[in-house]
Amino acid sequence: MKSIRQVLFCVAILCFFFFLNHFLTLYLNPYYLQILIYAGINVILAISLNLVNAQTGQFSMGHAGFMAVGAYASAFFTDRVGPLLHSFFTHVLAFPDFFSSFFIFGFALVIAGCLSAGAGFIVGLPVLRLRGDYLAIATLGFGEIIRVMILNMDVVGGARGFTDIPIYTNVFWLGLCVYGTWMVIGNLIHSTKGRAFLAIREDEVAAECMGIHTTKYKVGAFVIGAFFAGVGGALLAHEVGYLHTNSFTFLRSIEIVVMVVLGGTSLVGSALAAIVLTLLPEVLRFFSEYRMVVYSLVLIFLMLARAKKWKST
Amino acid sequence: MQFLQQLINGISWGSIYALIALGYTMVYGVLRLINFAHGDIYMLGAMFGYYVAVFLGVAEHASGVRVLSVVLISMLGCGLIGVGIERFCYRPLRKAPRLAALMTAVGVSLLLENGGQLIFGADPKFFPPLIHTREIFRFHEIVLNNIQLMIFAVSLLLMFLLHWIVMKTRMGKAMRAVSFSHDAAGLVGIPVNRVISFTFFLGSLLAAAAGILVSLSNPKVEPLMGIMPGLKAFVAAVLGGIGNMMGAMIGGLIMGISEVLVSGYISSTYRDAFAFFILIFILLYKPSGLLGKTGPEKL
Amino acid sequence: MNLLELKNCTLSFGGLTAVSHLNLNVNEGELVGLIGPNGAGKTTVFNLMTGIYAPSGGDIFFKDSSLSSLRPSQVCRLGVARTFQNIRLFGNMSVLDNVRVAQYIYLNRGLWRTVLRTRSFYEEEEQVFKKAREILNWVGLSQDEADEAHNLPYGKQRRLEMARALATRPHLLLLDEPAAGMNPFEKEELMKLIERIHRELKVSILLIEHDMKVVMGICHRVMVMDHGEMIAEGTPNEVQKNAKVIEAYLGQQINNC
Repeated sequence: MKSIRQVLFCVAILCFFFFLNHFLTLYLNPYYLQILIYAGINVILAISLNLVNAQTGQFSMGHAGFMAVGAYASAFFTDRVGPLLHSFFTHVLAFPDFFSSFFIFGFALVIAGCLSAGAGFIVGLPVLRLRGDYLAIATLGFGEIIRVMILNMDVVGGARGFTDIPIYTNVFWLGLCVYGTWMVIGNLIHSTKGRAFLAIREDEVAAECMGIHTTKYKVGAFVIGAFFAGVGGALLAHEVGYLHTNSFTFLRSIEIVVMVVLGGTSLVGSALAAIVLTLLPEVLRFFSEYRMVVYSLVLIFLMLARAKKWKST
Repeated sequence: MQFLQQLINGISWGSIYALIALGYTMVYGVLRLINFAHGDIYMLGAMFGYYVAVFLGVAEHASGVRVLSVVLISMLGCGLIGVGIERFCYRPLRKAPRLAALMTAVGVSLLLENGGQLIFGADPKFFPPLIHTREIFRFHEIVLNNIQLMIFAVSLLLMFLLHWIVMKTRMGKAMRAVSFSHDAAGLVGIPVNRVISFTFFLGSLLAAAAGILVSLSNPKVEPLMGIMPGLKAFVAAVLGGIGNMMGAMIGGLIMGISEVLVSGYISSTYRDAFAFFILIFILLYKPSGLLGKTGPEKL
Repeated sequence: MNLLELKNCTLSFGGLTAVSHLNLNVNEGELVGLIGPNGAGKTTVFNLMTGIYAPSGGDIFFKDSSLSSLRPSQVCRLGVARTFQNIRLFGNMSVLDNVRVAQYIYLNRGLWRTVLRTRSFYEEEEQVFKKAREILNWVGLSQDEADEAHNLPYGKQRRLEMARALATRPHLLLLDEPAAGMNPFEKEELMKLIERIHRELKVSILLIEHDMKVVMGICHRVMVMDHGEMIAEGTPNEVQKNAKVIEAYLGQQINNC
């Protein structure tokens, strides 16, 4: 009974995003559509970092590195393996084009997520022994190392950048991924098992003494966060069609951190902050030269405004 | 042969890193804060130097007094900016979680970089040659020029000066006391805020000096030039044991030399990543650094 | 029967020996006190027992299995729970959530079921919720269940720490100075609560306490530590008269005084 309902629900979700995509591509101008997609990608990134930074309290400044892993992995997949799969799907299995690209991009997203999660595991296991500002700096360092490693990989274009990535990202995939991220992380943290993340943030020693394997949970949060960062990166790659490691410097990580810091601890807050910070520079077009200056001022004033709260406790 | 030349270049860069690293280490000592904006103070030093030199027309009529005033004015300017940053951005957050202060420091760093791009323009400027490069020593292919020697000599001098200030003067003693405990230092009548301001002032002076010294040998000056040297100097400080001045100097030299060797013998694209490899390695295996002390963590 | 036993345990940090060759045991169903002057190493012993520190020598047994190489979370699973001297609640979580999350080790549904919200997940959440309410009710905090833990008054925070420890359903409860900072009335209440936990929940208890009234009032047996060593052991009355104990607390007696 229940499983039938769940299947129906999934179908409904798929249909909803399918028609939403159809509707928006028909009636929304491409510029707004693009902003919408960027906003959605930022929501994914912010929520996934929220799990690590705000819920588990492990301050990571290397999210852009995982994004890069996902972006490059998926682009490599759709660019090199994609055409083969496409001919297999259309010629051997006689799928229509639509289904073929559906499966290819679906695979690409999963691969992006899994590889990023793997990177998250490799980075997280040693680094999460550190705390506070040292952890922040170490994750920043790992993010940069990932970037330089990709920069030195010739198969993905190296310093020339990765060009001609097929454009697959649309509102359907975006909606699905945002919904998926939200559901997984939201359901996780609103459960007794997921409250373990919060417990670690509040007091790691006490959490461990209450039976929570803190290392497992910290690395777990990191891996889940990296997974969705990878998915976000994949969506970005297939929206822009071109990748260069310069878009994944630690400034990118800091932008995501600012979203989480601005939004407070809740997922809704992070998502709203992500949307606001995507829209703000667009709304203030005439302001575009000052964009980064405003950004840094927002960050400073945000921290100073919170200082009062910290003083009282 | 090649190796010795690399070593000379490495030591020259290493003394720059050491100068910047001292600022990181001193600020960490008194505030437990990674002052992310410190690398940008170094950039400002070079920028101020450029503007003062152009204003005084040093390029046309170089004289000892003018060169010295370029150096001193830009050092003083950076010192004041360092103090201002502490006063308005870090002091209100002194009781806040350390990560909040770190984020603020990141914000200040971004502000200086992007504000710098707005005010100074994003294009590189060419630092007027305050001193003309001369070879002073040549042995086969190994060349040592006067600027390299000067970078090394001036850095060494400044480090000794700093060491003297911290170890022998009243203010230095106060700095050391504050680095142990703000509360206790305050209780015995040390003006904690003034000491912290002074620490920022000293650190910024050194960073500005480093900025000008670099511009002598490498005259391209631009608003983002502080990011990488800043990060690497931070790594140098961690490597030597953050909070430890001797460690910062040694760490700076090691960083400079190893980096030049990596780009010389492995690959120059890995040069920047190498610093982070060192950082992570140190953090994971010897977080107290080469000269730092460790104590058991208290629960 | 021995429930917990330290055999010749030593712990040193660098050159400092915090605990040296300590032998200590807690029997099944006992309520034991561990006392000693400040810096005697009592809390360190708790940290050894719960796996926060690993002993540098000797071994620790709980129901005949060694604890010395286990993580605190594994020790907790075996049935040892503790409170902390300087209260360590999950401050920004509600009182109810503090007790809910402490039942972590009884959750059997994996992450997938949690994410997919299967029926068994809801059933389990319901059980956890009921149990948490039951425990809060039992220690008398049911009115405060929605408050954030750090907003509770001091006495209630101590109570909540005990509730949280009980939520792991321990066989042995380690209480680190539960009466510290309480007024005489609160101390009375606390003593009653500890005795109730011991009697009604059949939990063995080892407590560190400075307040002699509390120790003498409820403990069956008292062990005294000084400088990382056990110097005396016995019933409260015996210990009070022990010369070594008096010396540890008051310094050496001057002859013929």
